[in-house]
Amino acid sequence: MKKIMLLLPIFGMIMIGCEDNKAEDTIDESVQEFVSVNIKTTGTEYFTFADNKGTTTEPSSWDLSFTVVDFQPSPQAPVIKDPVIIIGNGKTAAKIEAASLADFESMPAATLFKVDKDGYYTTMGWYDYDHTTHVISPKDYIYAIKVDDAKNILFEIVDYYDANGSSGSFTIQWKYLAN
Amino acid sequence: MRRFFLFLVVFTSILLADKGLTLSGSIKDKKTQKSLPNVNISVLGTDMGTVSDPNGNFSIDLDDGSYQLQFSLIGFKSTIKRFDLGDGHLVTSINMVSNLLGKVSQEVSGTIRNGKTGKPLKSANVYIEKEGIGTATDDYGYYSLTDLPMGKYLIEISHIGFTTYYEIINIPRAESFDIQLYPALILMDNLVVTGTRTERYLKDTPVTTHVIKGEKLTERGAVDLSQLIQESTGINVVENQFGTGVELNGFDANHILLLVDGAKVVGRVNGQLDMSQIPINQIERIEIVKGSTSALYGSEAMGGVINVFTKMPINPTTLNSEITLGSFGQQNQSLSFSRSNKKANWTMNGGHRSYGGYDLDDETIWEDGSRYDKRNLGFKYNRTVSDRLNILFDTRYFVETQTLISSHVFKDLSNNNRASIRAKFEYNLENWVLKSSLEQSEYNHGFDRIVIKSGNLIKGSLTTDNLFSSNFQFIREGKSHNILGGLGLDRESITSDRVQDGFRDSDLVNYFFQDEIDISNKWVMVAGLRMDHHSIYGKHTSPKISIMFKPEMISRIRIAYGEGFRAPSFKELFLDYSNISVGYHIIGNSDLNPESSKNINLDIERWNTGKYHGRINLFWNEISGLIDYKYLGMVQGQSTYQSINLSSVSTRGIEVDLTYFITDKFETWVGYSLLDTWDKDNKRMLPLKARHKNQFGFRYSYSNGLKLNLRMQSMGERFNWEENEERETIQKVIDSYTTINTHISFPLPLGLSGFAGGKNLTNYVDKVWGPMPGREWYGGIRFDLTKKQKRK
Repeated sequence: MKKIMLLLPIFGMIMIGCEDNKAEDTIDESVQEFVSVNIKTTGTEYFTFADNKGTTTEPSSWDLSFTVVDFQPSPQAPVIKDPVIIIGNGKTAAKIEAASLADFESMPAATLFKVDKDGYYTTMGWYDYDHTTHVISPKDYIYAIKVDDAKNILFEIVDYYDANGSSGSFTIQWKYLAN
Repeated sequence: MRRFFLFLVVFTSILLADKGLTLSGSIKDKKTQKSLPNVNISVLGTDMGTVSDPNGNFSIDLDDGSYQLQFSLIGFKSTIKRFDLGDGHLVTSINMVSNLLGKVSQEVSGTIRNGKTGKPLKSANVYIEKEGIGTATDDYGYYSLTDLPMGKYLIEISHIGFTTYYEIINIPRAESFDIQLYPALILMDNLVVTGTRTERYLKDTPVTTHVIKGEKLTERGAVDLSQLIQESTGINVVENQFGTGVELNGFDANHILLLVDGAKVVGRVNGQLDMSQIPINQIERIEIVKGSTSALYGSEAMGGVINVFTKMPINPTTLNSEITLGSFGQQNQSLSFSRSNKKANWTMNGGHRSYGGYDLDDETIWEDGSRYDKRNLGFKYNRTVSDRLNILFDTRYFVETQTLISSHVFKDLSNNNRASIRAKFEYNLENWVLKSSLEQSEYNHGFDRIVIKSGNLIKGSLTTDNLFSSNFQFIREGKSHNILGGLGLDRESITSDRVQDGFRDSDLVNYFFQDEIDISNKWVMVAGLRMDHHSIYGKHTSPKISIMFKPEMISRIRIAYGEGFRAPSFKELFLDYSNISVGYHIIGNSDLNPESSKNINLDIERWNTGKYHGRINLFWNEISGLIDYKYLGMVQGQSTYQSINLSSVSTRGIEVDLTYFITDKFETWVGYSLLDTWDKDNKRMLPLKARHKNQFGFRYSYSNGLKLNLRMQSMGERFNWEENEERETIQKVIDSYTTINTHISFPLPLGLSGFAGGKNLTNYVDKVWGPMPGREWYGGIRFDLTKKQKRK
């Protein structure tokens, strides 16, 4: 029994040692949170993961924009002011259904990644609308986005309401995922 | 001193009783003056009697008092004579008339007794329809109808609360016609009002009326009005964010008028009244008239009227209290106290109901059933000022709080209260009844939200509905025409930040007239018309005609045609509401017309008050100009909708009900309804209407007072129209389900009784369409203290 007790710390140290060796290549995978401005009162906000910050004036490059688009399902149907998150120019993104940020570990197949353009938005249909309470609730979707070759990002839309219960303010949680 | 007198009176009466008196006499044949032996002599109303001796003499010992003695002998006309015994012996002489010598009796007489207790029944009606003559039994249960022409007659013997007896008898008749009446198991002698606005026996009202009364009110484990009536055929209870509504014959809850003691209940939210707000501890009976009844009641009575009647005290002192505990934190307490004398009566009552709500899954934060706390207080005073004038004063207050975590964002808080005050006068002349009433009521509906993640309270909207109503009505009861007429003035207003300018009001003047015509013994017709003049939507006329045919004493066929309407609500007329979170704008339309309907109803019922009651009802409703919201397009950057008279629908169906007493202690019932609905504009069925619904139940009453019932209800498949992810309309099927409810009640000492029960024993759970939380248990204790009127 004593031998096992002795072996355990040694084995543990070896494991830690291995991780230390890898540290230079890894990135911080902790979950971060970002809350957008109220896009219905302030307008579109442009967001960059690297800074975890947004701006309402469009910069030369951005990863996500929080905005409202007009959506009409059919010519007879009402036009809906649909809040969406648009993926930045040149970047591709994929939607993974029924998942949560914590338990999702690997990137989806490359074929699932698409570019947002011409009225196609990866995040379209991100919410459920309750006709009774008129409340918008995010579905259990995870979005994967390739920002650059080295960094893949997973993000989740957590909420669309601010502290006063006003809609229009996105809360997203995101994390880096190593290749 | 008072005690001494009491003692003296009791003592004296004991002495007198012990003393005894003797009534004796002789009996002779009136024609021959020969003594008659073996004559049966019975003292009516008692089990005493004797037989005359060979010399025609008799003697019988009695206490002092008044008696009726019946003398009967085969071959002689039965004779009844009254004696007042007060002082010593009384000697009499009786002459009996032979009926064997051509002097046949052209009368029918006899004694009516309660078959259960054997006691004579006073005030029982004896009626020969063919001759149109009748009488009532005296204090000894004795009756006599004389001077009848010879022939065959159908004799009808009836008494309220007893099963009517019919028999064909021959006149001349040698012997007395003695009958025992048994307590009625099916109550057809209840007075009902709603169908004609005049008091009629249930069996004789020309307008089809359903009554829920008596044990059915207390033996369903119901805590509010919606639960109480949902087990009736053709009634569907719906729960949504606006409360609990009741649908009749496929009509939505906003087309049903709710009255409490004949007065309109205010406080519709999105057109719907929350029936769960109406407490049931004071309900005496509920009358339901299905189909268009606007000819008497105007707007909202398009699909029918539910009229709730509260108890009127009859005993000098009554105290009732009830406590119930049940699943999901259910707690109910009620207390009522009333006093009554010949001139006046009053009742004070209060109640408190609370419920812990429920959450049917652990996956989401939001809950499925609201927590609530509801309190009510009422006072009613009734005074008979003179033989002619009666006044009633009535006030009620209700307050409730409801909380529900409705989404991941908000916890909803709903605060509602309702207050009403009413004075009613009734003046009776010989053939005229004049009634008038003044009523003021107000409903406040407040809706606030707490943002869950921050705890911030967001004050929402407060809507106040106000109604002042004054009504006058006259009734003239004639020989063949019963005429009713009246007029009403209503002033209504709404204060809400969701209507244009925050405040709107309207005036309504209405006149109504109705003639109930007894065409013959078998045919009755009622024709009525009401005209409404409204300050916003203008004039509207609602006619109705009902015909009742009585093919026999115990069956009725009723057919009715009526036109009804529902006036547009203030919000439909003047709404101005933007939903910022979704980005749409809804506006009212002051050019709206009332919704209108045409309704045909055929009802066939047959009963035997001691055995069964069966009914088949067929209905057909055509409804047009239903108000809905139409998409106008993008206005100032928002999707804008406006209320317009948009769609037309039709509903038709059959309802079948049968109640059968296997024994007088064992009652069973079955009910079935078939409902077809059609939305003419969208060419599809109306959503959430079950095509088939049926029910079955039984009730058993043990002789020791224990009562047990079991009720089963099956709701057929329903459909809803929903949008899928591609925003296409798809049909969603909601499966059928069955629920079983049971209730047991049993007497306890000291005026207490206990009860317990289970609801939804099949444990049917539905998160969305109901919602239904599954099996529930409850139990409680009731206390009744009744000080009855002293017998004189």
